[in-house]
Amino acid sequence: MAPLPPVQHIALADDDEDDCVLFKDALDELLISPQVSWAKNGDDLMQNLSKNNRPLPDIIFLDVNMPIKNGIECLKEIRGDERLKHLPVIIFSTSTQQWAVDRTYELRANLFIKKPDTFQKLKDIIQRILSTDWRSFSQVAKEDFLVH
Amino acid sequence: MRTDQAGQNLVEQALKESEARYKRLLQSVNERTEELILRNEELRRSEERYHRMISQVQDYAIILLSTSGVIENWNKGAEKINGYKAAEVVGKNFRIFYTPEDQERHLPEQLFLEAIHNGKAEYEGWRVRKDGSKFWGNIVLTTLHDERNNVIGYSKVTRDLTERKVAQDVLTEKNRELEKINQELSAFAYVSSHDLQEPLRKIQTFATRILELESKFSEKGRDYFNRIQIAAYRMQCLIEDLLIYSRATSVDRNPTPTDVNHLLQDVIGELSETILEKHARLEYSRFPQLNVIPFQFRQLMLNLISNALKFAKKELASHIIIKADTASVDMIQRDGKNARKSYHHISISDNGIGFESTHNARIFEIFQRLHGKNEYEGTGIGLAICKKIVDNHDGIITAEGKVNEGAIFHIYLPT
Repeated sequence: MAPLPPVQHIALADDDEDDCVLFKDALDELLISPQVSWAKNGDDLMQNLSKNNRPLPDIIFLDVNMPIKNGIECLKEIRGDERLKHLPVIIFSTSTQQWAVDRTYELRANLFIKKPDTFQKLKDIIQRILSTDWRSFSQVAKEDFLVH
Repeated sequence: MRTDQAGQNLVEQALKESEARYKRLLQSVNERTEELILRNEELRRSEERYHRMISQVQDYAIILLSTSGVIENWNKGAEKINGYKAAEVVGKNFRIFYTPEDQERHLPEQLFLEAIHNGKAEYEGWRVRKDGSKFWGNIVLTTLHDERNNVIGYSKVTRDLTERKVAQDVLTEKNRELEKINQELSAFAYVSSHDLQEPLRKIQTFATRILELESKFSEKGRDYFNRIQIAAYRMQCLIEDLLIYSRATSVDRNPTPTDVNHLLQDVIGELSETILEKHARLEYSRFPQLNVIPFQFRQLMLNLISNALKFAKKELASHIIIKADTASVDMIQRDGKNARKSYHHISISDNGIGFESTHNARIFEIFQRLHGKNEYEGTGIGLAICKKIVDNHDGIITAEGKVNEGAIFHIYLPT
């Protein structure tokens, strides 16, 4: 397989502005500067993704608890859409309630990340995700799905 | 004449004897009659007494029904409970005491059938008084038979248990409310502690960021920042413990037979860093299979072993002994309906700083701490979680402390 091309475009769906600021700061410190399309809720994200004239992101970071349309609904729509279903989706949530973990695993999210409580951990996890080749992805085992 | 005389004598003799016999017979008849009169009187009195007894009973409606359900007699109790006078109901069918709904579903007839079949029928339900008001009646319908085993009627004994029923209903309602409040409370504890994590995480992260990015801090400023972070960390521990506590409160799983040895291994692995750091020696034997909720039992072991490690003496290497055996019910002095015959007994003892034995019970209460925050870190929730978990398993947890000698925790789980 061809070497992993750098991630150029990230979609970040999160209603929490603080987390988005931290996310972008982490990217800056990692010295990678992909385009980040921020959606402040699930509906926003799906609108962005449905626009045919806009290029699709390389990866989606998806919060679970969002107004209007939550992450699980988005994930369901993405996996049910021929155009979108191949996109890597990383769940990015404060809450790691079992039902949410179970449901997103069922809906074939790529990973479930509990939002880190330090900036260093945030950088580490973003680095790890962006250097993973999701193209050859087959879903991880259930016990490896949730990353604390 | 002699002959005549003799004959006369004979006749007289016979007459006399006959008269005597007659007298004796008369006497006997009189006696018998008197006896009969007496007996009759006794019987009448007895019957009257019996009748009075029935008719004067006030707390029970005792009535006699014909085979077709027609009311044949009526007592004080019936009058009091049902509100009718004897003259108003004798001759009527007993269906009138039933609510229209019960009449419609043929409840009276069903009770008759059941009484014929089983000899008696018992029922509790709302009944109608003369004034239309209702009472909660407990009814026993008994079939009456003659010597040849033919059904000759029914006795119907009714008690008015309205007060008891109302009290019971209030109690049931209160219980339901209490359960609901409890559920709401644990849901509240869960949601609030869960949602508190988010702003806390922000405080921690942004504080770290400031420390990383800003170099021009005064000594004091840096100290304050460290204190913010320590306080935030303590809050994080509190929230996490509260979450565990509230999760332990709402159990939806039942204990299942589990090999707990790997759970114990798991816990020891998780604590390995602290064990090394404290030069602790852990002694434990193989556990039998236990009836537990696995994730809760794991938490229980984790809390108790980390507790033992935490309260180790500074100058003495920690030595923790974990044992499993069995105990009988009288050994643990437990009575009441929940008592079982035998229990698994798990003990965890240490040679740490111990505690005053007067605190044996208090340490399981939530937010109880025996030490200052700066001496030993802790939220005061850990042992409350243990208690909750053991309660969920219908078991018992006790603690014995001796200052400067150590502590031992006993867990008893039903076998």
